[in-house]
Amino acid sequence: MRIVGLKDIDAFCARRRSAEPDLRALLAMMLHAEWSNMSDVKRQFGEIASVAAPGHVRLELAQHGIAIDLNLNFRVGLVRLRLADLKTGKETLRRTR
Amino acid sequence: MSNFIKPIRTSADHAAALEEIDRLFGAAPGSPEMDRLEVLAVLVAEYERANHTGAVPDPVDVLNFAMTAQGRSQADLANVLGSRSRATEVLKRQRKLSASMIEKLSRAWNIPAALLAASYRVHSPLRRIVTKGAVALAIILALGAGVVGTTFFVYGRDLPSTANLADYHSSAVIKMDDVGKVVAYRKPIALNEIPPEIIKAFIAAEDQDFYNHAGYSLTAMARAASHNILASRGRQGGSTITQQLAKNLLLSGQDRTMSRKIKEVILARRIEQSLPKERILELYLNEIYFGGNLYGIGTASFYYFGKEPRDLTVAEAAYLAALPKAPNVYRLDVPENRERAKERRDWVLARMAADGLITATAAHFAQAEPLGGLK
Repeated sequence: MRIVGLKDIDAFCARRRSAEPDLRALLAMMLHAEWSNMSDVKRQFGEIASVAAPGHVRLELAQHGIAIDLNLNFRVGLVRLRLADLKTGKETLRRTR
Repeated sequence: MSNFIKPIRTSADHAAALEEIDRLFGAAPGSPEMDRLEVLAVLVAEYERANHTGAVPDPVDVLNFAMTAQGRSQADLANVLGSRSRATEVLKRQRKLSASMIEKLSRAWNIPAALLAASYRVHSPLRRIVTKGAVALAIILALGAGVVGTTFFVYGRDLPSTANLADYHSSAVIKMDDVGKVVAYRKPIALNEIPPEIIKAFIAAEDQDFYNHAGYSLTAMARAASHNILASRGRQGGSTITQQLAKNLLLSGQDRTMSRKIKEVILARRIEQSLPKERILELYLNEIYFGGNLYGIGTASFYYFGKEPRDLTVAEAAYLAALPKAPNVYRLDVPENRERAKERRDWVLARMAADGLITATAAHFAQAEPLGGLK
């Protein structure tokens, strides 16, 4: 898949080093993935993934207090990624410290 | 919306392109908007890839994350890899993922094989053992140093001073009976009146490392301790000449205890710091007990052989050096002692030869001499 929106992940990793291995692993797995529907996503990340809406999956990384919202366009093979605070659910990197 | 798509060179271009991607995300398939989305996605992804700081993830991190993301346990991993120990070793980085493990994990858990095949470091068992050993050794050494330091501090506080030993003169009268008659006496002798053979004999018999140690010998004490633990009879002290001097001059009358031994070591070190080796030898040879009521080399020489120390033969010197170990076991005025006294004297002579203090021939001839004595 093609991923866009990595800037927030980089910034978060720089601030929270303990989260970096998991986030790097997650991104690497997404980059190598060839998803064609939501079931493919669930098969790979079933324990942490929940479908919020059609084409929209939330991955909860509870151990790091964050969630990653994925907007998926399977036709283009595109993942638009946003970092969200797990407590507030809002897309706000600055509150995730 | 302009049909022209700008190349992404700056963060402002990037932010604008991301916004447009968000707007176009739900574009209908086959529409111009969808085509535009696809081109923007390529450009933004390339820009981010070029500016992305992430390194290639470690295969064990990928495996751990996949387990979390898929709700897998270590037992599940053991099922895939074939054994619990393999799973443990892989997760602890003690074993590399083999090609067959990678293939199984990729197939069963849908983890990209390329991510599991990346290079990573494993901790070798030897390195782990060496590291743990070094840490344990450092802790033991630190604790040992603490115990030794505390012991020296506690026992060293109230010990007699060694400051006056430089001017100390051994007294001639040691013990008188009830009516004032001298029953134990000493004939003090200056070191320059004591021939080298006597000094060599005492060093060979009592303290072969005398000129090198700083008052005590850890090797000798360890050897004596192991002997005392293993042997049922004949306790050894492992005391150097300096320790014996400390005991005779400064700790006389104290029982043979561990506490006295520690005090001996502390005092011996202080004596070595304040006196030259020659002075220590002189004091030692004049203070040492030779059995009965005899103290000092001058008295013993005269009593056992009727001679001044300077006139003693090597064999006679060796006999006198044999005495301090057990004076009343080897004294010549007890007839039944003579056999074991000769054995001990011959051992001293052999020791002198082995240490290069006399030649083997001289030792051989001296050993052939009868004990003599008590003339």
